[in-house]
Amino acid sequence: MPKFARRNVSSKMVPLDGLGIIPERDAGSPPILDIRHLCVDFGGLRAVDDFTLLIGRTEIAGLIGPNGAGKTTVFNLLTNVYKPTQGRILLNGQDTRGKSMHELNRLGIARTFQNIRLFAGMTVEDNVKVGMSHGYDDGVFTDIFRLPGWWRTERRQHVRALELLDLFNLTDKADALAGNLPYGDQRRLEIVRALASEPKLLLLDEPAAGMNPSETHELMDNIRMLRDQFRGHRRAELRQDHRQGHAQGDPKQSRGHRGVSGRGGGQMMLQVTNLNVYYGNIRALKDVSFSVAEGEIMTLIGANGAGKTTTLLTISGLKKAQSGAVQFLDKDITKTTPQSRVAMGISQSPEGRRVFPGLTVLENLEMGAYLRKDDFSGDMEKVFTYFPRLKERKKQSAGTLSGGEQQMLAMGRALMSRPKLMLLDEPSMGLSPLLVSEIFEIIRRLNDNGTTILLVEQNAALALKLAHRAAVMETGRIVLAGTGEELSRSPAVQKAYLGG
Amino acid sequence: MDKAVRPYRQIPVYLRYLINTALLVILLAAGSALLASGTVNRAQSAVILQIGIYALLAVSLNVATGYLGQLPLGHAGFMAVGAYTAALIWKALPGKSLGVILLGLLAAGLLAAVFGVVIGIPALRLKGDYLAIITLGFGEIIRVLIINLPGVTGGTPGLMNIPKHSSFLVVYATVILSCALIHTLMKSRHGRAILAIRENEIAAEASGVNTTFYKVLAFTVSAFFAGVAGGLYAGYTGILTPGNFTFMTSVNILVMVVLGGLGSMAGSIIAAGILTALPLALQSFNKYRMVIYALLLIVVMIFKPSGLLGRYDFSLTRIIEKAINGRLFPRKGKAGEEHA
Repeated sequence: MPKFARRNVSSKMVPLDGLGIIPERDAGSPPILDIRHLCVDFGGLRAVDDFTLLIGRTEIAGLIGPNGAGKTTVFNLLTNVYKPTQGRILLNGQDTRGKSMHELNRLGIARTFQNIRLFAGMTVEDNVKVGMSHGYDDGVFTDIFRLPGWWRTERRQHVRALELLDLFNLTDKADALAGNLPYGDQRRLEIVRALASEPKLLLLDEPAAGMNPSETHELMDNIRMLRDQFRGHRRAELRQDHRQGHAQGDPKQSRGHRGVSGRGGGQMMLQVTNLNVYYGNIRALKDVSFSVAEGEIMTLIGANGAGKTTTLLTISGLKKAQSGAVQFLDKDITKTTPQSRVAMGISQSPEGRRVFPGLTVLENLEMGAYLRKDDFSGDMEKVFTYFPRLKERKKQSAGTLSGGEQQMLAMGRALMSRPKLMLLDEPSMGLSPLLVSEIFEIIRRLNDNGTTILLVEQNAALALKLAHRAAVMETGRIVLAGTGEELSRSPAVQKAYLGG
Repeated sequence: MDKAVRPYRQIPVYLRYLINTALLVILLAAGSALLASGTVNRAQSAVILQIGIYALLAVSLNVATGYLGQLPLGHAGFMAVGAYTAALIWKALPGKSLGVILLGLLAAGLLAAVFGVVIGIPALRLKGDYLAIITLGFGEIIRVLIINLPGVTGGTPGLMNIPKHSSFLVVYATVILSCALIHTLMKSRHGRAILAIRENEIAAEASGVNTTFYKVLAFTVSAFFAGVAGGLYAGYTGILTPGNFTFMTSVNILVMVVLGGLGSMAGSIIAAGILTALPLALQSFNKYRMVIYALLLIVVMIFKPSGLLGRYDFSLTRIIEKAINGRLFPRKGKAGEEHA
């Protein structure tokens, strides 16, 4: 196991000095980050309570805890997105109070975001160049009139950007638009952009969210390599990640009690034939064909960028297929609108949740029932029995929910249209192991109560255990299909997706 | 095949600039010669000048809307400041020397830019519709000020006998130079910071971009070139009245930007050309003129909601590059395979 300096932190934080500190730590010099007695209140709710933390130079510190514990809030306090109610933060000995976010960047903090925030309409290279915001002092006129300074800056930034992109094997994508990258590459690009400002402290918010075990390991290696490579720069990192423990995760949790062959004999509900989908010139799906039988749980697993999300989007009608057909309950729906597909009984809980942040929980659920003209109060109650937490937060606006609660809301909203087929895209993304097993248990109950489910998951181990049937996707193709158990025994799958 | 391995040959930056400059000089000379030869009648040459002026107005507004991603509605206000500034300078300084013309246009741009900073600093604290309303208010204030300062501006009847300095060469040389300067700004570290704010303001700020500074910068650049265009306008009409700078003028410019494609300079220019020439070309259908105009806008917005060109920008050198690499007409399937 990697030797991370792990500090177990809840929002009621005690400094655990001397615990898990990596030997290279510069004990003599002052800590790069010194947080004392930090508190913040949102309305009546105390989100962070008396939080104290010290991080040494070149140290990798992990901030772990369940959803809603306040991890992202701490990051937002560190970058002054929120102002602390009490307490103080010293960065490299300097008080950060009242500093704007870009001034903090200049002092040496760079961060990534839990919900990736790239400059989607700009190229990968330009994204990195924007990150290089200091060390270049040419004025506006130097650039406008193409004085020597511009040529120098452009050359330096170009070379540096390619060097940084090379660290994460993104060099050959330098000219692509950031928004067109697959999910995992977007996460990596965000880290590269953060590195571009040569930070002393790098804040990574759920860097492995949505990655499968082998990708996660690769990312961890990369992060350690960065630390070693840039040791001269004395960089410290604070990462928050639920999934640090996933490698030793308890295999017994939420074990499905499903038959190997599923509910054989069920009639085909969804039939996808030779689907081809393009993003611009990039062919994202290549002749994808599969079917989902009524009453079963089918799962698609595969690396980031394999085309799993695109498949779901094409089934729900949000993405148009260039060729191929989608049939639902023996009707060809390839050309129908997304809303009529919802009316027919397909509903999607999208990747990244996509709740309506300004609406309350109740209003979000009502939006799920938008097309229904009958009384849906019964379904609302049903959603609340599946997700009691949502009932407690009925009146709260969805944007203030924690990541896990937002996931529950997204699923609840999808249920409100009373779907026959539910498309679930990465329901476990960014959730703690405990919450993941809770969500998976709910998926199983939903299925027991008759909803057919098509699940896309990074957490292949759990998905395969739950699913009756599964398919593995690689670069836009289905390369392997079988029952969940067959696939979880397949050596290729074990190596690539189960971290074995 | 090993053809795919061959590196993509690129034209060096300085050579690109050379090619583009040569092309523009040739275009400019050809245009002047055409006008001088008398093949173009007076009405047509008036349309050509108007197209140039509106193209610059659209391109300048595109800096604030397309690149920065804000929605100011007071562009006619900056245009008015520039127009009156240039008019007063030209009236005070007789003669048709290049120095006088340049002085007028430069002063027009600078004063408009000053207004841009003054309005921009408070206005850019707001976003979206609030910014739209505050800039709309600013545009109206300028117009009311012009009406109520008859000693300087001539009040409601307006300013007469402004020397007509805006010849084809003056207008188009100014437009080309302005577009080139905006282009060089956007293809630089500072330009990327402006685009980053449009793409994601929080991420830009967290990446160390001083968002306040760059918002005001983009807004000021936008105002500067609107002022220059105003100066050209004054030298074209010879008469300025406050009625030239109403809210509808701002809206017309905005329509050009949106129709051409937010963030596309070429799109702004093309849309300015179409929307300026169209009402004049349709004059014979006088009754239905505005109906056709409106229908055209609706049709474009339905079938091409991102505007005529989207964010695409025309680049001659890119086409040459494709030609020398033998990829002028790429086959779709093949390109897809290469990426995959």
